[in-house]
Amino acid sequence: MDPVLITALLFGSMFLCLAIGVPIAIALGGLTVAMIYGFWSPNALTMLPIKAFSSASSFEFLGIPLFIFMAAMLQRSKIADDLYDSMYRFFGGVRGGLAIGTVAICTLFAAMAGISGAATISMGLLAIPAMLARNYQKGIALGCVAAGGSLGILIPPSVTMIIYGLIANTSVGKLYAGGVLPGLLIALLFCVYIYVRGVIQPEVVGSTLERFTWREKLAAVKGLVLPILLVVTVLGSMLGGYASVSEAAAVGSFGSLIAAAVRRQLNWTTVREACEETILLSCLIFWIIIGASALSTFYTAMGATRLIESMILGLEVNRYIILAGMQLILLLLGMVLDTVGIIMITVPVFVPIALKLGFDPVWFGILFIINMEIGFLTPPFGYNLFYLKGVVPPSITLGDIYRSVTPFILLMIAAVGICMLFPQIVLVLPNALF
Amino acid sequence: MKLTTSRRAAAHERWLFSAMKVTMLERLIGWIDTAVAAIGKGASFLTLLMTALIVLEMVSRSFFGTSWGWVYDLSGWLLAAYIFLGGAWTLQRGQFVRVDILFTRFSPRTRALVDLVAGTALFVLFAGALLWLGTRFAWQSFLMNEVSATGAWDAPVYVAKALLPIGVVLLCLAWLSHILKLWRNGLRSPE
Repeated sequence: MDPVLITALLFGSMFLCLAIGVPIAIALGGLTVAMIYGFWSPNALTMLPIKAFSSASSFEFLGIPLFIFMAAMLQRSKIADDLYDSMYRFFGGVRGGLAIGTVAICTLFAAMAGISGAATISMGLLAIPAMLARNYQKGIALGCVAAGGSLGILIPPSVTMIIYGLIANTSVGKLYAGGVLPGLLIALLFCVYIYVRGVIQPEVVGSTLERFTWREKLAAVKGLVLPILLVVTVLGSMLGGYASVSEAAAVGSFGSLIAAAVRRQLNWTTVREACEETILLSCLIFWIIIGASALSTFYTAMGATRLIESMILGLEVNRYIILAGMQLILLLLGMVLDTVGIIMITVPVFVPIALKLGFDPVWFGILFIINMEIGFLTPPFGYNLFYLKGVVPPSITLGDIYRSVTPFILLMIAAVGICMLFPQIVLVLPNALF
Repeated sequence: MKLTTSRRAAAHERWLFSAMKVTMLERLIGWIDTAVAAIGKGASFLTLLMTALIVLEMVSRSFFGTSWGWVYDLSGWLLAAYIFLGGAWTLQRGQFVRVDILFTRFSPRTRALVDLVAGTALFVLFAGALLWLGTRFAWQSFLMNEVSATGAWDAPVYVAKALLPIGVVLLCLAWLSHILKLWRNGLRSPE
């Protein structure tokens, strides 16, 4: 059968089914079955249960529920309360300090949690009311939490990177190492932006500055001990090569229980809620992976991958233009589609092209992840927007949230540009560690 | 006079019948939802078990020098149980995400149609293939007495593989309950 026709049919029907709102896992799963049966061979369908089982029972994927549980438990341990208190004493005297401190906490949280929800929800509950009470403009207060929270998938550990790494066949450890500096760069850009806005337009960051003595600041360091210990154990064991990603996730999951116990929040209700939240989010992720697991084999076998590859490589334009084009597609998909769906659909096509063009797989992976991070913030479909809407006071509309993230999205796009110009920002750590 | 009475009686009978049908439907939906939720909630605690197993294995390996190879297998199988048994509850809770750019703008009737027609067609293809081939996959493993290749613990693999078709049956029940609810709500709405 003609690969051009199959490619058009495959992507056309996929687009249609997803656009009318069929659940992603079901749309991808059903279409794969129909396409394999119709255009390849009914026998090829036997790979479906094999792939479903091997994805669901893979030790490498174990990190996904365990890191999600860690985040869910940390969120319930109210560790963020201590962090917020310490941050307030350190940054209270700086213009825009509460917002800058919020970004700092989100960065630290991102180094403990592999998803964006935990930091976004915790800081949405704590920091936004505090900032609004001190006359911060809505745009800054909402934007810094939504954008800061999205760092969770870029700064290791990261659930999204586990999925990307296994689908793209790139080392998850190297991706983790590669995400550290770009994550810090983005956090720094956010802080500089908030500070500069505060200097130019003092009214957007409220009026009251509260300074604390050094004694008070030192006393607040206590709140940082537990989180930093967790970061060091989880990231240290993983990046130091002592534990695999899944093992580090188990240590983190265990550590989050201890953290909750230390904070006196370990009880039946919090554990049960965290367990339930974890299974719902994990199944959402895994069933998309299962639904789409045979998709890439199908389009490789039918020659669709090679067709797209030769079409794009045949364009004979500068490779950076192709790279920019791929990222544009990712950004557009990020507005409407879930991250796991985007990875399952685009990675089998994009990664071979990127490799053929001579790009480093880890570097490309990090650019991909930053684009996904932006996808968490771009309306209409952006997880962080929904998380935030769920916890902010009712006077704040979804429109307020949409508007608040715009400058932060532009900063992240700038960060993508910086990482493209200076690939060493991404590559220096993975090259040094592995 | 007699005619009116019998007509009234017939109408009453029709009403009774439809009311009965609705309660039967209600009950079926209730049973499915309760079972699916109970299994999903039960499976959710496997997170703790997986954490404990891996942490204990690490402790045993680093402090006592004995590695438990079977932990890798077993925790992978627990993950399979977790995902397959939890899927139906996730579906029931509406956590199977969709692209909602158009969906949220559709009328409730169109939304119901998307799931009743397109969603159900694709679901039947996907779940049908997984159920049929998944059962065969587990059955073959049972027939050839397949045991775990790693970890030196000779565990029967069919136990883990059978979780796939079981999970798909639960998923089918959850979808059935979902479309029955759509149908019920369609019955009650004035349209």
